[in-house]
Amino acid sequence: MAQPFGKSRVITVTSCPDLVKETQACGLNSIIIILSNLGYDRVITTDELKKIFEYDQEGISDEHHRFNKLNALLNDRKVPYRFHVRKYTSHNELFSYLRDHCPVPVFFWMKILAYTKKHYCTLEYQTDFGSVFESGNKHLLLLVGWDDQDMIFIDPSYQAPFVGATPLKNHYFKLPTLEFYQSVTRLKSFIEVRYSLADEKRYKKESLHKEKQRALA
Amino acid sequence: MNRAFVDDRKEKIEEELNYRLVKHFGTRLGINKVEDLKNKRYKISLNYNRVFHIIDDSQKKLYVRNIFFENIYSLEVATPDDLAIPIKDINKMIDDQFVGLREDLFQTVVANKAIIMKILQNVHPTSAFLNKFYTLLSELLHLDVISKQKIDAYLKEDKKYKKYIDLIVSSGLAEHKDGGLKASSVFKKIMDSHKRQPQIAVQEAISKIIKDHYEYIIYELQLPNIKAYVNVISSIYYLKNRLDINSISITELYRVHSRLFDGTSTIKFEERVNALVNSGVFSRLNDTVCLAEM
Repeated sequence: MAQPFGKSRVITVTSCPDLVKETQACGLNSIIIILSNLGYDRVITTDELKKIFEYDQEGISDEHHRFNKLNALLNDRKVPYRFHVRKYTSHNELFSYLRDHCPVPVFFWMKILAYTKKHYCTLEYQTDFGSVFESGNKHLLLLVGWDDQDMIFIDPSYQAPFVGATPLKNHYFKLPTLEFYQSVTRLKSFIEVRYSLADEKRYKKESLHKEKQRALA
Repeated sequence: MNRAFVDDRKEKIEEELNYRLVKHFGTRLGINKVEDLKNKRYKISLNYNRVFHIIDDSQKKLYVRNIFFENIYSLEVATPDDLAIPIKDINKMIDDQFVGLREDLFQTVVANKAIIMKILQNVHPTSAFLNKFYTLLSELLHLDVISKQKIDAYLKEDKKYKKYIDLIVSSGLAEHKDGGLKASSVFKKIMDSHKRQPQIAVQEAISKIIKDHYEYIIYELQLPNIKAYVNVISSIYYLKNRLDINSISITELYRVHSRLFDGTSTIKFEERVNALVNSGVFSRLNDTVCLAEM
């Protein structure tokens, strides 16, 4: 099938030491991996992220408000990227959001693990999933590329924190497009990482202004 | 044709709702059912579903499990845009479900006579707190009756004896007679089955009282000592019965216990685990524990 964004593309994503070694940390680890790969490693700490998203608490919270809080903090720390939960209509649309050093976090139904679990065998632990595939929970995978047949992903919670010193690229796995659609039925949501050139310019301007003031003083 | 149209609309509503749930409430809230009310309104029921994991370092195993509460909340909407979810109300429901889960667990534990007997026989701090039961039941065991004068003497010593007597009667182990107490046929049956070891008969009677009136004993009589041990056993019951995990490292059991019950200190927790190992409720191999065969 002809892809509007080229026949294939695979970006390089590197792991980072601050990842949470917990399987439910897919969202948290996605943000950590993305910020780290974009060159903003530890600008926001894992503990700060856990606090923003009330990570250890039971129950639900206003997630939209949490993302707003994260974006406000990114602005405070002069990071010109923002995170937004959005909808897509086709897998091709997701490809347009893939940039160098910036994978695309895509929501899946938990049953995706029944398909992807075979790729987790290189980990230091043997994983027992019980009946979790049948649960109505959601899971995030990071889209890192595609080729003419498949989409290419890395798992931010079942793989990334456990790979040790090996490059994350060695653990990328392919997901046939058919499997992809079966695992996102009536879900079709992802996290857009939005870059703001205007904000970056503003940060630079503010920084220059400060430097000038310091020089004058 | 008409039906196909309606079904398609329902699917679209469901997709939009899923997106809005993810966007506004994260991954823990999901749709249970969308019901078309035929008046351009939909009734949606929601499930709470949280995935968590248990790492067992000693066995190099990672267990992935989920806590699932079905139909935690339902509401009516006309369009996905008016999906207003009362977070506080839902969180209260989730709390209530956890209360229910804990209660199911500890009621299962206290209903297990073999476990409670082993605790009473071997975990001495719990026995000491149940002294008044031992006193009254031993009197009934050896004398068959406790006279009114003796009851009055107990009450003069400590008014709380009244509550203990009420529990013994309520559990069917004794009956009121002429202002005193008389051993019931139930207690006599227990005595008959332990003729050579009468102290076991008393312990079995106490285990029955604990089973029948566990929460009253903990919260009204304020005898919390046994609760700490029951909670530790409940945690391992949870792993075994709900999560299909039979043995676990003490560290990981502590984590499960802290989430389900409270964050007692690790040392106190270890003391309790070891007491349960010594009393034969748990089996231990290196750092791993499991329920002992009884």
